[in-house]
Amino acid sequence: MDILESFRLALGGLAANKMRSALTMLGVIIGVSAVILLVSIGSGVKADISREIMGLGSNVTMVLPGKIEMHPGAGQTGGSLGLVNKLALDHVEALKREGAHIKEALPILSSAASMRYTNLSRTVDVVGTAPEYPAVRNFPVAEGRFFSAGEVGGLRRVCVLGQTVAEDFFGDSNPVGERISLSDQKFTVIGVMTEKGGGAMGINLDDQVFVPVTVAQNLFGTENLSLIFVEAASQADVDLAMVEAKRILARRLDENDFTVLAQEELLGILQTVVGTLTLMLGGIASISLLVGGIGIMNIMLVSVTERTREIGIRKAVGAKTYDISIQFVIEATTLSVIGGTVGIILGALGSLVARSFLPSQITAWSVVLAFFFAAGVGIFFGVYPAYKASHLDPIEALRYE
Amino acid sequence: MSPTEELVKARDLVKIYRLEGVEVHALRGVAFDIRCGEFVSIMGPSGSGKSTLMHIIGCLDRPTSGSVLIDGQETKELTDNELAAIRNKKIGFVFQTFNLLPRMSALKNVELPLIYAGFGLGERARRAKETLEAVGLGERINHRPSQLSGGQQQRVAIARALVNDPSLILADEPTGNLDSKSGAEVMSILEGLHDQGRTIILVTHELYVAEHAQRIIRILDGEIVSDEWVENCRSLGRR
Repeated sequence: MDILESFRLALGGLAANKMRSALTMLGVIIGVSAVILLVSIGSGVKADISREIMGLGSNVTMVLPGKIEMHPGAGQTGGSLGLVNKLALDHVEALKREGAHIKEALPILSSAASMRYTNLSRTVDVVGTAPEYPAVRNFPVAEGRFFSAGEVGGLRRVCVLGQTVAEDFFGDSNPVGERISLSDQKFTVIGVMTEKGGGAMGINLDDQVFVPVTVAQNLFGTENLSLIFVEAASQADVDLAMVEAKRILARRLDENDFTVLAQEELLGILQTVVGTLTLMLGGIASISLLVGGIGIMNIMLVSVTERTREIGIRKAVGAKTYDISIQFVIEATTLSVIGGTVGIILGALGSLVARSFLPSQITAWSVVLAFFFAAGVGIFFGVYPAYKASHLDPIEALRYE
Repeated sequence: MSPTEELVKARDLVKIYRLEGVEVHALRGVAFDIRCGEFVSIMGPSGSGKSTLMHIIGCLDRPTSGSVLIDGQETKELTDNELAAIRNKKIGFVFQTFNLLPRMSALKNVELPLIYAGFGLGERARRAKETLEAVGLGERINHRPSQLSGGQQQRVAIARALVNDPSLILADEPTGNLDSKSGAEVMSILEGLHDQGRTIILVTHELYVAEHAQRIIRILDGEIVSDEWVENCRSLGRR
């Protein structure tokens, strides 16, 4: 008996119990689509984080307040919470002045503030920084201009709006020259940033308002910085710049008060976390796929029992062990392969829908893996019922009522 | 194959079942020969061992000891799959309960042995149709068993037994589930097959069914008690 004939028999067997076949498939469909959906979200988040961090520029490192343990699993100690934050503008100046391989040091002090214009009001991220920000972050101004060193030194209350903020408050009209208020202090809008696109980690770069760092210090009543970006003279100098930054800051601060973080390290930490999460979600989804497989085995065992007499008849007219077992294995595999295919389609659709509120990215490996896992589950859980069927005693089987 | 050649040679057949520790002797040393073209009835009351005997001759079961040669081939050493091949090519079964697959049309049921013999779709359909026409069911090839009368179902089963052109037809109480008219029809088909030169073994417990054969082997408690030509039986019966 050739394999085509086996398929014909198996499909006939499944078609005879359409409802049952569909319900059995449902287990696999849910399992496979869950794997695809969850892994695609995990991959999407991971890709987003990479893009974001790479978007910092390849020769940029960060100085964060507090001590961050670099070993995965060691957890984070100390406080980027700001409780022991001792980073200050002096340190930025020192880094610029003393670091031979440091091209630029950029202070960042960011916090939330309520922004108001006419009768519109909402909370925005206010970022206090220096005039070099657009150059270091590769994030240029679209309209107007960024603030100058003079405006930083003179504590001038000027601001540059992110795209989203500009659109929300001003619509299509040009905000440059308008007066807004941040935490009840009046500011003049001098520019609008280009669109950078939303990002992971809950930061939307377009939903920010940039002000001179000195003004931000006044606004938030703190001398301390959230972050210092350190730009090396070239990509080759990044490591040297990091060493320098550590040395310069160690002279002024306790070693537990700051962390110099390379992009790769940050990327590595975040990717490890997201990767672990993805694996966990995929693992949970795989369990449902396994449950689907057990469902297949269950229904195949019922099917073997129900069709005992049929098996006896087939054996009596000359079916060999192989003929019977291949029929049941193909039935089980067909269930799981069709279930797997439908699951992939549903998972992909789900991932497209999820894209509107979560980053998601369908990865080829998750599709291939889920498909073959499903097919494998079908074969694995089909083999035992098929073995049972093919080894029935023909006389017993013929007598079965 | 000449008509005098032995198609079935049974030698010292013993079958012992073990049911919950109790030994049941279903066959206690049965021996006989059946030549090509013979029409033989195996007769006996229920529990006599006649069904066991039929299963062993039909290669559905193996004897505890003794041997069966089918068409000159010793079956003792054959694997399950080799026995399946013999059932497929040399033996056609007709059962009391028809044993048709309910989901399939008459045509598909008759095709079944051809599937396992490795014939292609077209050849299968052609041969199955011819065989159904030969048993007078040419008009009903697409009916399912449930749409056919008992007699018609048994004729489908006979067509299935014939379709692979076997050397031996084994019929186990073929009229047991039929009314007398359908039963008579089925017996006349079997007689017709015998007239065409086919070898038929008929298992029954009814004398009037057994008398359609040329020869009757009576079996009781696992042993052959008589093996006679039908004319002799009749004369014995009349005496």
